[in-house]
Amino acid sequence: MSQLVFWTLRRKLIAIVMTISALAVALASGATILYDAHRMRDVVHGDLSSLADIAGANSVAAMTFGDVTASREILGALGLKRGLVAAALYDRSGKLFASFGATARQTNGFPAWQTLR
Amino acid sequence: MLLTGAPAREARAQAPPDEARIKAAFVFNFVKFVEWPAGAFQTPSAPIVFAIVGDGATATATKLFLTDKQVGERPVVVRHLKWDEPLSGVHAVFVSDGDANRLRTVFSAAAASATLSIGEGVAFAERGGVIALLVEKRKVRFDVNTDAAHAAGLVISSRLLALTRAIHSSSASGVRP
Repeated sequence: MSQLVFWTLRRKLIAIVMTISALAVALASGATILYDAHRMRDVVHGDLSSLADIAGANSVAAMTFGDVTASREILGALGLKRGLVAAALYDRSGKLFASFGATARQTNGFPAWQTLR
Repeated sequence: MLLTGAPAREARAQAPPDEARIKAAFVFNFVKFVEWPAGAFQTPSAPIVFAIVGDGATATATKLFLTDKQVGERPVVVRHLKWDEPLSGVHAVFVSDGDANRLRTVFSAAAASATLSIGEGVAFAERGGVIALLVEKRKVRFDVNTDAAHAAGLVISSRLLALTRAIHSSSASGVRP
């Protein structure tokens, strides 16, 4: 630290400018990363909500007539989306009606309807 | 939807059997997936008229099930008709009469008055009924005759057609696995 006293003015100015620039870059990067992460979560949430709405709308008839096989087929189509590992349909009373994907062991069982609300 | 759980013998005497009750629920739910031609209903809240032709467990259960029900804004009205009575003003008819000649009369009356005909057994849809209920592997399933629906001016939702056991039509027919 004591060596700084012997730095030339030019060197000191460069050091100050560099430090400020580095701080600014670090702050801007941090903000961008946080914003992107937040935005990505929103996009994934919106994407999954739309898919859930579509699958739900398509399952109305199957659920009305208690056709579990047809419901599973509809849910199975969701498997085409990369990264989507499991899906489940719950009836009005919150009982699990049909599910697709990961086994109960992998997902620790499908969550109770109450915890999803 | 498995037809399990036998009710107590005393209860069975009053309430319809499970199979009949499930079929009755199916009959009620079918109308949610059928579109009638323009003019079939006077107003958006005009009642939907169900007719029951013939007797039997499912007919009784259907009558019980439909009483005081509502489809969207439409209240459900149930009538018991004889096989040779006209079907004008009737939106859906459940037929439990199995006589071929009588069925033919009901089918032509249904086609003429845009009435959805629902019955039991594969033969019902093959002979010209729109929807036939049947039990397969202890599950209630149904066949649809799209030609009969078309003749009556009814549009059956593709979502309902996707659940059929078989579709009877002059252009395509087959039993789904």
